[in-house]
Amino acid sequence: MVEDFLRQSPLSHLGLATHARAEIAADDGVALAERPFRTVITLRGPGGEGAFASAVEQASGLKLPQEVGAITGEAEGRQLLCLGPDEWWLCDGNSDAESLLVALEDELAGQFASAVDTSDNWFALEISGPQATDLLAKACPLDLHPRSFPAGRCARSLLSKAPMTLQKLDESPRFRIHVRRSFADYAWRWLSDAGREYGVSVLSA
Amino acid sequence: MLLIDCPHCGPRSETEFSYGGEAHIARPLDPAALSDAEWADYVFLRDNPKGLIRERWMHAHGCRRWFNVARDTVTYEILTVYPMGAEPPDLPERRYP
Repeated sequence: MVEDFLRQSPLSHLGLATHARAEIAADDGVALAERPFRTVITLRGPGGEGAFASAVEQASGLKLPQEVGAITGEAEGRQLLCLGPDEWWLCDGNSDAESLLVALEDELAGQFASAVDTSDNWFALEISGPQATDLLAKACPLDLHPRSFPAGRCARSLLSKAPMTLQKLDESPRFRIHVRRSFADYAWRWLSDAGREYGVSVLSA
Repeated sequence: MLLIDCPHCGPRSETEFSYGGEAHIARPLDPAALSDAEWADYVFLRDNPKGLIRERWMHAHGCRRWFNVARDTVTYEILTVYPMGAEPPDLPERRYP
C-alpha cells in the first residue's frame, strides 16, 4: 500500500491552494479543480452478460455497462466506465484501491480477465461553469452538444495533444477529465490559458 | 479532415485514429520458400490507387480497436466500415483517369 504522506499531486508545484476558492467567481465563465488520488482500476475481459460481468458486479456492486461510452454508478462515488468493447474502468473517489482489487481478483480467479490498479498513472481534474463546454470544445474534437454527449456519458479522446478520458457528470455542465499523470501540468496550463477569455476560477481540491 | 465512423464509438475525428495501411495483405504461409522479389513485394509494395482503397484504421485515442475502411482516395468519401477479419464488402471498383 502506498503511504498517503508520500503522495503528492502532480500540480503541487503550481501552489493552487493559495488562490483556490470554494465556488466559481461571479464574473468567471469556467472553474477548474484538481482531483488527485482518485482510484482507477483497469478491467479487461470479455463483454456480454457472462461470468466476467457477474464477477465484476459481485466485487464492485455495480452493473457492467456494455455499450462503449456508458457509465454505471454515481458521479461522486463508485463508477464503472465502458471505454471499449473489452475494456472498463472502475473509478472511486473514496475507497482505497487495494481492497477493491483484492475483491476483484477473488471473483475473477480462473477467468481470462485482468484487473490492474492504475490509479497512480492518472490525474483527474474537473471543469465546470457556464462556459465549460466552450472551453473544452477548443481542446477536443468530440461533439460536446448535450444532444450527442449528455450527462452520464464518457469518451476517450484528445485534450489538445494529450490523450484523455472525459466524463460529463451533470448538465450544469461539469466535466471530469483523466489524463496521464505526466500530462497533468500540460493539461492544467493549456486549459488555464484557453479559458482566459472566459475568466478561470480555481476551486479547492 | 476525415470523419471516421468507428464501429464501437461512432463518428470521430481523424486525429483520434492511426493509420494501418492497405488491408487484406495475407502473410505468406511459407516465407522461406519465397524469392527475394516475392518477399519484397509482400513487405514493401502496396497499391496506390486513384479510386477505391480498402485500408486499416485503429481508434488509437478511443476504444483502441482495429477495423477496416473502404475509402475513395479522390473524393475522400468513406463507403463502408467493416470489422477485422471480415471478407471485404462487394463494392464497384472506382478508378479515376
